[in-house]
Order: sequence, then C-alpha cells, then structure tokens
Amino acid sequence: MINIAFLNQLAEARSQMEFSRIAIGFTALQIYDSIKTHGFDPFVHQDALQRIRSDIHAIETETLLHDALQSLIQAFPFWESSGPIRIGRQAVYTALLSYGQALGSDGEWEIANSVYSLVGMDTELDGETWLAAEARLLMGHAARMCADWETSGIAYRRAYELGMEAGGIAIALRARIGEANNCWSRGDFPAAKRILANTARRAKQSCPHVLPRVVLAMAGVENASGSYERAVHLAFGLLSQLPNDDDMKYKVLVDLAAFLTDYGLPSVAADTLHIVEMTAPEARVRRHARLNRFFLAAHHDDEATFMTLRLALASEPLTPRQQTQLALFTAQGYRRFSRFDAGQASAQRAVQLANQFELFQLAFEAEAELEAINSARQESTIVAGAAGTQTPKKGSAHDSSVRYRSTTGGKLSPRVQHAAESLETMARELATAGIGMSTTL
Amino acid sequence: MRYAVLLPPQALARVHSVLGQHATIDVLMDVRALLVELVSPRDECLVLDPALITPAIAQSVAANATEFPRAIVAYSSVTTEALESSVILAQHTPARFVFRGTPNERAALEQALFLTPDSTLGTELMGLLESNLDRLPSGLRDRLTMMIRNGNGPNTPDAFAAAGAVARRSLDRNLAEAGFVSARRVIEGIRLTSAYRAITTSRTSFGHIAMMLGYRSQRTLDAQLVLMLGLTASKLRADPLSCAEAARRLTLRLTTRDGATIRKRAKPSKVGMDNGERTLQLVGGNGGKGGKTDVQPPQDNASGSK
Repeated sequence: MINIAFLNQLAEARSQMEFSRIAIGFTALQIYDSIKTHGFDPFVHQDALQRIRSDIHAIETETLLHDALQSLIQAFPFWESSGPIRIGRQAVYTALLSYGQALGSDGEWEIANSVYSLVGMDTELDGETWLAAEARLLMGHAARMCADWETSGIAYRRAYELGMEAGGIAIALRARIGEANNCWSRGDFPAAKRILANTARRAKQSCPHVLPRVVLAMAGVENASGSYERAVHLAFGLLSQLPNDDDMKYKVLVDLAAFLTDYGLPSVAADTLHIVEMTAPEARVRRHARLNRFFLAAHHDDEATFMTLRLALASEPLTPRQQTQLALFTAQGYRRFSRFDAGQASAQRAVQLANQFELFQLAFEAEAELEAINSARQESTIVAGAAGTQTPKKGSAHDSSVRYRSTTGGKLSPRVQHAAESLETMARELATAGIGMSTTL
Repeated sequence: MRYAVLLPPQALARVHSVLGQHATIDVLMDVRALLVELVSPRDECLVLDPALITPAIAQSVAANATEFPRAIVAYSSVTTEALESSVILAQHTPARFVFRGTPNERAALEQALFLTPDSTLGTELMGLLESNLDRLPSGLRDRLTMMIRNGNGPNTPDAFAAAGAVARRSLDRNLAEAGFVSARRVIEGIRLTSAYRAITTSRTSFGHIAMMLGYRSQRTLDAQLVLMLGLTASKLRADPLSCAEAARRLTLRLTTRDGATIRKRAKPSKVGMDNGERTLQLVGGNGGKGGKTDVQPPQDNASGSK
C-alpha cells in the first residue's frame, strides 16, 4: 500500500527535484520495512542511511521535510535498543509521524496518508496505543485532504477509541473535531455544529486545553456557513483565553485574519497578521503570516505597503510553494497598480515555478493571472486618457475619515468594531514598542 | 511538587505552560547545576532534554536515580544525541519519554508531568510482588517490572500483550500462573499507582487526573480507587495511606480474586472464568480463561467501604 502511493508519485514526478524528494522518503521507508522485519544491522543498513544522508542535502534546509527525514535516519540505528521501554521504536514512529506532517505541509497528502496508515498499523501491533491514536488522527486529516471521506471517518473513529484507551482524551476530542470538519467540508453544517457543541461540552468538563480548538472549529463552521460576524466574534474571544499556548494563539490569529477578510475587513486582517509577524517565535510562522499579509496588500492595500512587503519577502528563505505564491501575488498586485510589464514578468515566473515544482493548482492560477494582465492591459489602453486607471490613491487605506475599510460596504456591528479596534491597537503598540505578544494578549 | 528542569528555552516554555500554577519549577542552567541537583535527595521530578547531556552524564543520572529514586521526564526531539542518552535513561531509570513533533505533544507532556510515579510506592509494590514476578517469563517480567517502576504502560490487555510480544492467551495464562488475578486488574493497579502521587500530594483536580488516566469521569476513578485501595480520591487526598499500606492493599487486589463479585455476576458453571470485574469501559477482552478457579472471600473490606 505504501509502495503504491509512493510509486504513483514517483511515476508522475516531472522534475528531477520532485523525483528525488519523493525517492528519498521512499528509500527511507524501504529501510524502515527492512529494519522492522530483520532488525537494524549496521553492515546492511549503514550504507543506505549514509546515501540518504547525503541526498538530504539536496532538500532545502530549515524545512519540515528536511528536519523530519534527518530525525528518521537518526532514529533508525536505535530501533533495537534493549530494555523494556522500546525507546528506539517510539523515536522511529515519532519521526515517521513528523515525516507525514512534513509531506502534508507540502501538499503531498496521498503519500502522507499512506505513511500514517503504515505507522497506525505498526504502532497498534506494537502496543503503542498513544502513538497509534496520533497516527490515526493524522490519517483522518490526510484522508480528508484527499477527499477520501470514508477512510477519514474510519480513521477518526479509531483515533477516538485509541485516544480514550491511552488516556489521551485530547486526541479523542480532536478526532471528534475532525469528524465535524468532515461534515462541514461536505456541506452538512447542522451535523458539524451538533458534533462540535457536544465536543465543547466534553472538553469543558474534562479537557479544557482542547476547548479553544473546538471553538475555533466552530468559528470555521460559522464562517463557512456565511455567519462571518459570529466567526470573528468566536475567534476574537479565544485570544484572551490563550495566554500560555503559543501554537494555538497563532493559529487563532491566522484564522481570525481569514474570517476578517471574508467579513470585508482586509485592513484589520492585515493588522492581525502583522501581530503574528512581529511576535511569533517560529520563523516559519512569521514568514507564512507575512506572505498572507502580502496577498492582502496586493489586493487591498496601497502600493508602498505592497512594495515594502515584496522586498522583505524577497530576502526570506521560502519553500517552493511560497516562492510560487510570492510570484503570483506579486503579479496580482502589479496588475492592480497597472504595472503590466512587471506583472507579466511575475506571472510568467509564477507559471515557471509552479510547473517546475508541480504545483498544478498554482500553475492554473498563474496562467489565469497572465490572461487577466493581458486583458487589463488592453482595457487600460482603451480607456487611457478618458477615465484614467483605477489605481487606488496612496494612503487611501489609512484615510482618517474612514476608520475601518469594509470591502462589503456594510456597517460594522459593535462586537466586530470592538475586535477591530483591539487588534489595530495591539498591532500599533507592538510596532512602536516591539514587545512580545504573550504579555499583550 | 517541585520540578527541576534542564531544557532548551522553547521546551521550557512548553513545560511552564503545561504546569502553570500547579508546581514549583527550578530551572537548571547547565549540566553542572544538574549534577549538583542529583546529589540532593529531595522529592522532586527531574525534567531534562537528553540531547543536552552526554551519555556519561546520563549514566550518572541513572546511577543517582538508583540511590535517590525520583521521577524523571525526558523531553526531546528525535536526534542521535538525544537518543544516545535516552537509551541509557530508559534502561536504568524510571524515566518517561516525550518526543517533540507530534500533534498532541502537549497532552503527552501533561500526562508525563502530572502522573509522575511515587518511587516509594513502586519499590514497596515490587517487594511485595517479587515472588509473583519471579514466576513470569523473563520478557514479561521485565515489562511488568518496568510498568510498576514507571507507573506507565499499556492501557488494555491487548496492548499489554502486544507490548510484551506475546499472544493475548499466553499473557493471561502466564499472569494466572504467576498468581495475578488478570491482565486488566494488573493494568488498573499500575494506572492507579501512576496517579497516587498526584492524588495524595498535589492540588490537581480529580477530574483532570481521571482524564489523564483515560477514565471517562471522576466517578470511574473513584470506583477504581475503592476497588483497589478501599478509598475514594477525596478521602485518599484528605488522609493519604502510607506507601506501605497502599502497596499492601494493591498487592492483595492484584493477586486475590474478589469472590463476592464473582459469585454475584457469574453463573456457577463459569466461576472459573475471570470476568467478574466491573466498572471498566475500556476496549479489549475480559480476563480470559486459565485463571485460578478457587473462589476466595474478600480478605479486606476495601470494596465495601464506600
């Protein structure tokens, strides 16, 4: 099963880089199979591990994939570590789960799914219930991303059972959140809300630290069902409840920015992302927030902000997907500011990167952008001199007469107004004082 | 409870966020501070990143843990340096291991930090169960010894069998031959040992402890405590049993059938089958066949004290 998923990916790889990235993982899993069956033998496995070690250098450093593969090959020699606690096995299983997560973050959900499936089976056979529950939980998510709803549902249910067995009620409740996400992904909002309400009740009673996740999932459902205001309200309310949980805090802020954008407040969304940029301890999270803010700048902000962010991102070490997104968003921004030549060059770069890294959805979007630029160029030629361009005036985003720019034009409700003011103040204070968010939120 | 911590900043922040107001945290700045800490025989939990110590230091920690038993939590990423020291700690100490990088790392860490085993109780229990443990095959004996020592292990008989690399039937037969009531009761006993310190010496809520043990509610925790020790959690916290007494009661429950329960629940023709235990809602089979068939009356008033 694992081989088929990997072999399919290898067969479909169109670039050398793509092929070698998958091949390294495939080889590592073959070594894993061999070690699992015959035990670790330095004479047999050391050479292969050394080869992988040198191949890993071809993968960008500081990426999740690089780190996960490094962990995996470092854990293999400890597989047979003696003693009643099978620390080596636990380490290998953990590294495999990290590898699956890295694949997921690169959008390789199908092979991530097969890795989780393998780990799930092996950990259960080994009596490692906690790790088995983790593997099934991740598998549920990966299968959902592949739109394999049935597998996802089964995996989540098993994760729930194993989580309860292992004393990991957090895993069990997260499995329920996963099931709710499955429901709303398929349009069944009432079922999703029902599951989440029930899960929230249980989390409140027995596992309070999962409650924010449940509430955030509820906000996601509200947003997906068009109740943007409620989504913003729920997510904003969470921020005051997360003084010590950085992971969750930044997840909430990023989701809140998405909700605010959908609500029609991109400037507040940009402020929210700016908070993440200034305070997140992990460079990866900060970079992601900046890229999202760049997207907002390209579509809603003034040219100066757009150019500043573009320059800042140009010097960042970005993943292939992020590089492609940067080129695409740059093209979109240039089109909006009527700089068609620069926009065309960026769109072509985005097409080239997307094809090189086989990011087909982005390739499609980049080609569409290229067409949009050409159309806009023709239109601007026709109307030039008559109506002028529709380039927004510099500084219009911060027009003092309009406190919050709403793209929908609707009046803000008091609670969204409150959230917007708080976020703006927070971003301003952080920008001037440079203090950490943990003391602010 | 006091926690002496040798961790990199990010891991330290995570430990802080998990423990919150529940504990005193002393940060050890370097390995030298760790070595000083080791020779102070205090009741505490040592939380360290094995990647920050050399195998030689890990040996010192192990040697010291024998002299001054204490709870140890090893919290690290998966790296060669960390694993070299982890293997030593795993072989010679009752350390619990939490690897970074899984989605529920926080919950795993919480369980490891809050459910730290009481080393005195573990030692007492090992002493009382020595003859039973000696009758087990070596692999299973090592596994069970580790579970008692660490207060940690598989949560179902099936997982126990898988972890011990034996068939479920063999597990039941071996345990029965060694004088244990059933795999499930052994697991329950060990589970409660891991919570003993949290119940008796911390202010952690019983609901939280029950949740970390994998029970559905505090009521289930109380039911298990009454079955095993004859006291509810609140009574145990208000008036803790001595470790020796707790170990004696646990040993009795682990090795003596509850005849009253069996008579009440089982048909006469099935008396020999160990399915008399109640209250558990865990997945997995019941006690299985092959247990001792002699039905003894309860030898203490534990189950009737509520």
